[in-house]
Amino acid sequence: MESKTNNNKGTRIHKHLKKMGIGIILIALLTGLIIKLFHIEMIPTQKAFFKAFTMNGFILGLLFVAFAKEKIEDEMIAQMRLKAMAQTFITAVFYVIVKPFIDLVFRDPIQDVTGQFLVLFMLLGYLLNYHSQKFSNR
Amino acid sequence: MKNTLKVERAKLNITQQELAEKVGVSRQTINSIESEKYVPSTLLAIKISEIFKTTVNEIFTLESGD
Repeated sequence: MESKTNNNKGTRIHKHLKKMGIGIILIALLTGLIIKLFHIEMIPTQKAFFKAFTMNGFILGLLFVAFAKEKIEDEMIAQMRLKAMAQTFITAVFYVIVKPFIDLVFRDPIQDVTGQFLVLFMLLGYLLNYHSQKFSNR
Repeated sequence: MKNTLKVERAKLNITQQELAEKVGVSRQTINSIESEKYVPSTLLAIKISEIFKTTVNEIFTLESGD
């Protein structure tokens, strides 16, 4: 009989996708690193394509890693995920509010936070928060 | 919330891993319940009490601040 002590099954990605996510992150990082290190000449369209490729690849990989099912996905894991999501969301909102003032202090032109950067910030924040909770509950 | 999970487990002579497998959670969850870091759901509390053939109130008791 399947256990019902996990109340949050619908939002998880299959556990095998975690390895795929790590692979995608590595490919995205390597691509970005090779372009930066070897100063490969590119026309602006190519440059924009590779920038989008590395950034979106990194985001997709992080998404797979962040939401892949654990070996045993029980109610405590569900609670830790929820807590991590809530805390990350609140931090992201504060970040968006505070960022223009930080730009002002450092006399940089005020720039809007891009969607890509915000998603990346939230995924990294979520992973950090979730794994620190898991570590403290070990 | 206090609990006597460790005592009950000792009475039946079962490990955290064995209890975890019986109720369908991870060993870490049982460990967190025992060390009072995590309060289980009603469903899990009932499952645990059924393993020890006792009531939920016998294992889990409220503290003054709860």
